[in-house]
Amino acid sequence: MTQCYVAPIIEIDRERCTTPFACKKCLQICPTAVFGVRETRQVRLEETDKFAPGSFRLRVAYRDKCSGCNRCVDVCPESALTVRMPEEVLE
Amino acid sequence: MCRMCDSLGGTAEQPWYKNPKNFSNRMYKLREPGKGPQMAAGGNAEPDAGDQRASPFAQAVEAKANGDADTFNKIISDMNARASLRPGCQVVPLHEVLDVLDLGMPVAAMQCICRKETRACEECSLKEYTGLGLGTGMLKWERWPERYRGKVEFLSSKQAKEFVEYWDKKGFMHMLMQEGGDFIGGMCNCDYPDCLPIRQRIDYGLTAQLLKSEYVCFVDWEKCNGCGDCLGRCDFNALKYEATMEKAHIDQFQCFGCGLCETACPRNAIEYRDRKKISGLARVW
Amino acid sequence: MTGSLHSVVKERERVVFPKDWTFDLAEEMVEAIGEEFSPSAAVEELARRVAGKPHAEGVATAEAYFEDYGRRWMGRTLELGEQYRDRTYEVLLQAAETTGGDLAFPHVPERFVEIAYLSTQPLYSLPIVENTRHRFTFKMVFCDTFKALEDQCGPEMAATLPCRKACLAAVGRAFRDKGFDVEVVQDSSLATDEFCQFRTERRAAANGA
Repeated sequence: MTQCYVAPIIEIDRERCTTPFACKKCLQICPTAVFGVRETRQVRLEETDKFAPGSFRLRVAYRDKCSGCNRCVDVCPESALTVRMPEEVLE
Repeated sequence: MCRMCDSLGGTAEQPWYKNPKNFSNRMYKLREPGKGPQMAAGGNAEPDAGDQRASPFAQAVEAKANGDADTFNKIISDMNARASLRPGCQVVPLHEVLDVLDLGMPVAAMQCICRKETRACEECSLKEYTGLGLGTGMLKWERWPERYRGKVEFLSSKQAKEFVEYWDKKGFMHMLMQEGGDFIGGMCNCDYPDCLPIRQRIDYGLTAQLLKSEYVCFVDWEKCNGCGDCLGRCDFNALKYEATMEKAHIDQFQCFGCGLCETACPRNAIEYRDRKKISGLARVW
Repeated sequence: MTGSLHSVVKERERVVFPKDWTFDLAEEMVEAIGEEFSPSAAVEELARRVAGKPHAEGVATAEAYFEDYGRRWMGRTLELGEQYRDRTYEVLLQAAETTGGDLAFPHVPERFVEIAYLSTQPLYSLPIVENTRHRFTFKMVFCDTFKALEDQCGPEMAATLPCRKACLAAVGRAFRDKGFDVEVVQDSSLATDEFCQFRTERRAAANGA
């Protein structure tokens, strides 16, 4: 049986985080590689424009691996990320 | 034998990935009446974990992050049961990769799809590409340029071998993919945590979709002088320096037989042993 | 930015390919070859030629007939196949060129073998057994030529499989026309096994490979 620990909640403000694949700062700084990024649509014969807002989408792919170190929060140029422990755990 | 050899024409002497049948593929197919061309793929982005449309894996991660071990273990064991009915990926050591590159043709260097997703890597030229696409499907890569970030580079047999040797030296292990398709379409050069199959196996116990290699690595303590050149090469937490013995130490049950430690050893102190011939490991895939 | 291997972001033009690129075989070409080299029509003509002849003479006639048919069939396929190019073929030719000819075998001739069979036989794709840098092997499970032979020339003639000459000649011509020294052999036969299988072995490096 795998041990499971309650992990921090990571919120992405999608109004602010619009071109994550071009920015990629959180994706590359995270010590445990918690984030994932994918294009929202694949078009035949066409490469996706990484600078077009909404063309790629950042997601929290491995939240259980988040240690809450806050490096992503510090590095995000758009202040789009928040990382917090669920309150019921803190009490 | 593991299920890959059982279902894909492998034998005790020749693993499935040396059977040329598994690389063979036509170049063309005629459109069957009533079937239109595939024009556009739908959305590729995975919904957020809390979303009902999230994949079982995303739901398992969410359960784990919520401290819900029961749900997590249930989803993972269901996923393993399903994956064990299908072909998957297998770790292949360098010396066998070199044989395989004569079978899977044509060969093209391409952007790694996992690295693109995990670290937003953009590999744009031959110096940076880390993946190899195999087979006639590569001739049609231009249909979906986003998958390849706009370019691939076809390689001669000699170039392909140099390519894999280069990344082996840099510290990537090798893996063949027979997932979903009806032929081996990719030879990946991978490491933790970028590689999705490695990560899903090591961090989440998805043991069925990525199989260990046909080999297990053993340290010959007569030859090992404890120099430590192999340390840091293992992606599977199998290799450490055993201070007591002043030698490299490999945990046989953790070892995936990728051979990265072997290719780094200056004294040839690490040897491959056939997993199938070691009674306690023959069923450890 | 971190110092990871792939962290450098290169700015370059976004790739957008022409929307009219097609990666499939031209239907017009497939239809043209199919009409010109229809197996049932070919066997009909053969049936006229062997009618009334003793068995041994009929078989000899049939073998010569099929050998000629196979050669012409592939000749026309090579001609039309070059005339009707598709993007898959163009990429293959570029790949072969950039690798000093290394990637030409077996795929360049394989393309014409595929065209020839897809055009004339009841197939949506040709079952390939092996296409590696050493050899090219495919099989035929449902063959209209063999069926027509049984129907029109009788099981006795079909049992000698004279039509193998057409496949051997056609496949050999495709590979030799593209500059490869090959030997084409038959591994199994529809007359005795469940399918015909033809294997093309590369004898020596060609095209600078």
